[in-house]
Amino acid sequence: MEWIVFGALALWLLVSVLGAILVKSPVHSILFFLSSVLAMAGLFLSLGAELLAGLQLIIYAVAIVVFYVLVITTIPWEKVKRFEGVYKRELAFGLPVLIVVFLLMGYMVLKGDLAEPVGVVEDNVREVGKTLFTSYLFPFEVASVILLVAMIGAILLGRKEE
Amino acid sequence: MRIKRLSRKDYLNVVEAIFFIDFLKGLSVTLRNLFRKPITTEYPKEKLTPPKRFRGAHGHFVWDGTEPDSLKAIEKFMSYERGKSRCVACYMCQTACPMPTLFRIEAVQMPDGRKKVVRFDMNLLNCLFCGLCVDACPVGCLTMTDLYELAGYSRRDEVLKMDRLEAHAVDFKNRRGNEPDRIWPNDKEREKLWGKIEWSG
Amino acid sequence: MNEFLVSLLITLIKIGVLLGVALGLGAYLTWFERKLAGHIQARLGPTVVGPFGLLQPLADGLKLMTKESIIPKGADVPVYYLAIMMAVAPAILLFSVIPFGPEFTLFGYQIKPIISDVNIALLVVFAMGSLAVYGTIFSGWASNSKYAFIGSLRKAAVIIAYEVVLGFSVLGVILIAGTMSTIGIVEAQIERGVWFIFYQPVAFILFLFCMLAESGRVPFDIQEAEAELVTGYNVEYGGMRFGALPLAEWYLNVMALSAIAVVLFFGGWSGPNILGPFSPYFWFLAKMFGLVFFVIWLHWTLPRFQAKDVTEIAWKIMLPLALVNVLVTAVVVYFFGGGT
Repeated sequence: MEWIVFGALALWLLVSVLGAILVKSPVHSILFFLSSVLAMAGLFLSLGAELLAGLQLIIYAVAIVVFYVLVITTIPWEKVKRFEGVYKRELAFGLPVLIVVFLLMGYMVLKGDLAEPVGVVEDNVREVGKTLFTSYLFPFEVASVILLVAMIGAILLGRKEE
Repeated sequence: MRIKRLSRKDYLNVVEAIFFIDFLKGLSVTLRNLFRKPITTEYPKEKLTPPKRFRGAHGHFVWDGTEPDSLKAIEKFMSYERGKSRCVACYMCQTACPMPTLFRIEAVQMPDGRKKVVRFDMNLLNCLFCGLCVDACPVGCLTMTDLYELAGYSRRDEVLKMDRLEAHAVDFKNRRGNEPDRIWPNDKEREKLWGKIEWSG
Repeated sequence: MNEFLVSLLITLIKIGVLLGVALGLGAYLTWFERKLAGHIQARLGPTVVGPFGLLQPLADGLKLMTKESIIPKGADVPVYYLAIMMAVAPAILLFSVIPFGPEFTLFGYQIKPIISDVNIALLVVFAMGSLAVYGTIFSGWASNSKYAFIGSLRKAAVIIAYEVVLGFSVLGVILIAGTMSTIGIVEAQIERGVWFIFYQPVAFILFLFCMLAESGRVPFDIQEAEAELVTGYNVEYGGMRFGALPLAEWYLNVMALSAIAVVLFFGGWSGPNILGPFSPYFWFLAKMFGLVFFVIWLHWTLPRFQAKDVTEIAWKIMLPLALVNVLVTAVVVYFFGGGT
């Protein structure tokens, strides 16, 4: 039964990711991206990672994609120079990287052990919070400092010239 | 006139801002109104009677013997019939009208030399009901009645011909001819709005 | 397998009941709002269709469905239709985490009157509340109209600002209850015997304002702004497709967020037992409609904020207030206990 749900969600995810790449209109592309984020949240939910699913929805599906959408929808696309065709140079640079990454991942999946869930976690939220604020307190604080710096930088950039 | 400027502090102090006193005041106003009796007139079921001076559809007062003595003289010149319009086709109404083309007035000379009005059309689609034509009428013929349901199914319905004008005025005179000619139904109503007026004379 | 089928069947029945009730109530809220607005303005509201105009929503629905559908020139047709889905779906999904009453047993099956009791229920609420913004943005963009697009951009700005405040205002309640599950929060209030509004009055006011902003109600309805934007993002829609957008935003969203507010601050289904087994539902619905009534009453009382003020209030006043509230609550909970 779980495989049906997983398969459906995975199919949805793959289709929307492919759509995001292949569709021409940028707005359709961002819609497919949104759909892939939602499918990912569904996958997390079906795997029992509820907090991850919730954060995926809030942070990716809403906070981040909304800004993409705002930018893309407000650009007057008829004024942007359109490129029709295949990105040859980008493909030449990107393909080797893609192949190497794919081989690496394939090697890892084939040779490595998949992590087994250690003990069923009752309350996702509590466990994640505890881990974040005990074992990983330092990286967490560093991340927040980085975000603070980024925020100050954004305010400085967006400031009106006096 | 001096303008008194108020800072935000003057009309909303800190306590009022914290407890949303202005919101609550507004809410209390709407709540009080919520339980007030509605003032709606349910139009097709109930119809208001406008004041007698209401400027509704036009009418032609007819020659029926109730006209003042000063008018009696013009009977010599006009080919009047009893119960028909007392219009003299002087075109005063058309001259006074801000949209003169809405009138179509025609008169002919009868064999006995008297004048007969054969046509008096008013296209109410162009009319703005200002009442200038009524003021201009020298024989007190043209009037405005209290009819306000003027909708029709075609443009032709909106053109008042003489027969309809006469019918309007006859009907109006029968219904409201005896009422005193004033805007307010009685003095008490008027004083409610305008206060007591000290007449000079 | 049998067990699974039964639970699937129960869930489907719950979804059916909820959909019917939510959409029906949503439609009848239009009647209620028109009646209320009418009486506030010393008018009568709908009276002609049925007794007290009670059949008015049906007549409206019939009228909307039989209307000609006009798609504006230059519109992005798939997105134009998808936007309606994206507006309605989150509003309905919000109901999936609302517990309407305590657990009960029927024919030997334990039934919870909630569709999905996940322990991230509140995160789902925030996510769905803000996912609704896509419906607005894309309906404005796809209909290829200036008014609609300005309205949708305004709505996006409002939602981004108020979603943050909403999240922080609810954190205090989560800290006290020690859980994010809606059922857990209600049970925490019943256990303590006190509604969280008495612990968190500031949070409640912030939540109420965010609720008004998210559902596009006065005084934060700058995206509708009839005077400047006609009616904002849905101006190019016609027929039932037009009907769906305000239904989702003005009625379903308000109902769902009121229900969430009842869960968070008014003790959910708790209340004196006056109707036997039905009294929890009665109390829940009574509290919810009390809030809905308040929102509509507010709608017909207040004027609208200026567009520039709305986001300023959120970022400069409400967000700091919410942060202070969270901080104070955290300190108090740490020293005097609370949570679990």
